[in-house]
Amino acid sequence: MTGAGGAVAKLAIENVSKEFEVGQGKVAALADISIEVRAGEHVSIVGPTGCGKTTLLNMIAGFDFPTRGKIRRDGKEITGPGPDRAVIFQQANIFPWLTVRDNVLFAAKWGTQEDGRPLGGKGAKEYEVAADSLIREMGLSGCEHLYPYQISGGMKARTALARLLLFSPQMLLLDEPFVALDAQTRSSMHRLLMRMMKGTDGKSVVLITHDVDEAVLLADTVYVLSRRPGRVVDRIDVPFGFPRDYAVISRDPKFLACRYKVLDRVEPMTIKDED
Amino acid sequence: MVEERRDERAGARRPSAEWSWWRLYRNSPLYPLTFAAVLLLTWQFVIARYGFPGVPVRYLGSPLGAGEAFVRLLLHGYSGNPLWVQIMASVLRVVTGFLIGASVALPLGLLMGYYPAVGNLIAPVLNFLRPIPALAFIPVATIWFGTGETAKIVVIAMTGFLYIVLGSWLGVRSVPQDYLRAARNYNLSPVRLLRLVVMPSALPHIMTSLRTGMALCWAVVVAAELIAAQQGLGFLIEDASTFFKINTVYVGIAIIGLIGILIEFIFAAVERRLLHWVGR
Repeated sequence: MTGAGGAVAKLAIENVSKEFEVGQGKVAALADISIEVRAGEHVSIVGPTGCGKTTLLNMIAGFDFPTRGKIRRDGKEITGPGPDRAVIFQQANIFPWLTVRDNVLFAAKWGTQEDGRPLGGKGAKEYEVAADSLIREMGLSGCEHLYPYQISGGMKARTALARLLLFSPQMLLLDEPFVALDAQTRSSMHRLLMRMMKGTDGKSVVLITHDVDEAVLLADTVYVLSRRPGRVVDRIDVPFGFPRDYAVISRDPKFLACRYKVLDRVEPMTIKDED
Repeated sequence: MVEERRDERAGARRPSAEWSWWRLYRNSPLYPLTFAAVLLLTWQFVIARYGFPGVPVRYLGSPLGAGEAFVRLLLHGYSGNPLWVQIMASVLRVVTGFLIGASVALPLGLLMGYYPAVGNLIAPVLNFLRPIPALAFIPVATIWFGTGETAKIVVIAMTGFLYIVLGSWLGVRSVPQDYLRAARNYNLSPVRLLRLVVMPSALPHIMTSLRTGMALCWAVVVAAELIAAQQGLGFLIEDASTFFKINTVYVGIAIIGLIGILIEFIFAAVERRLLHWVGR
């Protein structure tokens, strides 16, 4: 099981299909999906609404299971959720009853590894120090003691991201994490995400999105899914290193070629008004 | 300088400096008391003087008469006990019954929410019992436990229990799926999941049920004391009414109302501290 670069696949989705029972019948959500994510690879999965993107992510996360096929991480089949695959959901699901700082600390402080050791693997004092520097690095200084209802959507997204980065998971699963943000905030989140991912020794990212620009900007490899039942219709490499500066890279013809390749695949599948 | 604020309702006029005394009054606690004062004055000077259709004047009582009765109660107590003993008898019954009811209801409600199998097993029985007025159980409790404290506390505890168990059950069921998924994602232990995610998330529902449960308990204690008691506000009302001391009855009723408001006030203060994040 080797990926394109010859490295052992971190995540292997092997011929996965998913069907949901609806009343008497069955609805196929995903059909025969095969995707490999190498260590350190950033993968975007893009497709039209209802193509089963979120279902796929939920199965990688271990909240749901394939009807057929297997999903393996480091060769082992996924049997449930775990902190090795940290998820950010569509709504930044930080806890409204905790301050920003307590939210950032939450997973590292209270979570456990599969063998029962604390998730952060450090003493309580060390998290606090790490959390404070992470808060500073992510532009959340001054908000530490505010509650989620007192901060903006962008701040909430930063808090949700910081909560995961504090215990440095092997793999980040992002389910349209920036969909609720305005354009400026979203692009600042893109910069932040790329900055935070830089030099993080083999951390893989799986990003689910319907935004083609976002998919291409943040990925080494973009997979395009079809309408339901979702199949992989194309795989496009984006051969640029990270971090990428959107203002510069968006003018590069090679990058634009990748973008249009994805767009040409996605565009025919979107539902048109005249349909 | 008068702050300009638009009120969209009923074509409210733009406030001006001339009206600032009116605004001061509108925002003071005097404003809502005005209506109460009008009612009391009407009662004192119109109804108590000219009568009310179908009720003999001597049974109408009056606010001033009630004031006198209150002073008399303060000075001499009632039926051999000071007034505060009568009040505390009721308060203690409510607090004891409420605490017993709540301490059974909260864990059971959480259990029912945590394990749907338990919830589905127990819920129909609770749903059957809940709409039955506690008054209906008072005779049963009296037959079982006699006319002492036990019967009253059992009825109060049951009233609080039935309401609070459903509130905490609903609270657990309405924990957003995303919070539970996040907790599973971080591999939280079951105890931490309960303490750090489920409890805080269910707290708004739990607080509402505690508040309503307490109000119901307070309503029930008076009913329980009407039947068989030697102390308490319900006893005071019942006993005074058999001697046609109508103004004393009013004092008992007013104290019940005031303590009810006090209870609401305490709960509101606790909620403001604990649940400032809800709905924002």
